Amino acid sequence: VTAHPGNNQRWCYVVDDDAAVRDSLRFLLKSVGLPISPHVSAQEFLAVYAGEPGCLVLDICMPGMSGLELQQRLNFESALIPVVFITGHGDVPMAVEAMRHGAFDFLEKPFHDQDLIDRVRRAFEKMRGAAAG
Amino acid sequence: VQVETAQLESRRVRSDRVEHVRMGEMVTDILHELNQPLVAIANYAQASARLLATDSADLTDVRAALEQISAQAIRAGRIVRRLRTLSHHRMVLTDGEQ
Repeated sequence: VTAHPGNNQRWCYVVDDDAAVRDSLRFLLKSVGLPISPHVSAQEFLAVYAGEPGCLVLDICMPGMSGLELQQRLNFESALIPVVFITGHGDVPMAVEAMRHGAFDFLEKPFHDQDLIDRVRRAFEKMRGAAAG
Repeated sequence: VQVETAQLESRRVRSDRVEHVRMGEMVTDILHELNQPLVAIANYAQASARLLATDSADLTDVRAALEQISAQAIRAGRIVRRLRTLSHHRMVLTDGEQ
């Protein structure tokens, strides 16, 4: 079931191809009251996302369209949503590339819950600032 | 005869190298796969601890997370077994060459 934001609600979009990772992130973010909209692939996310404010937690390495490709697509469409990448070991060169293309931050999997929560909250703040400015 | 031996030797070294690279790629893939259940376990456990720290924790949620932790640990175990099979296979190959 894909949740989708209503008006004025900031959502944490999660795109990860692994069902367990996705569900555990939903559980984690829900436990601190952050509304989450999980997606199985970059394509599925693009099909529903229409520029709403929030934050995108994005797996870097996915079959089909990769996280980096999705980021470039969003950049091309001038989307303002901050992207926090989650990467596996050995994906550091890809994470560096993501940062060069304007990623908000990245985290190596597995991560401390507080690190993710802090980044998501800061990303929300950033988007609020961007929308106001 | 010496030329033939040298050719055989260089072919053996080459196929050995190909085998090494292929094995390395498989191990990288399996390690990447192994990381996924570990991420899920860490997330479920940390979120459960957060929920239990509040007065209004919904134990149904916590129980569901515990079941997921156990399922993901079993999933990780299966992946480790595959890795072990692969390393055993490699040892057999190396022994055969000696």
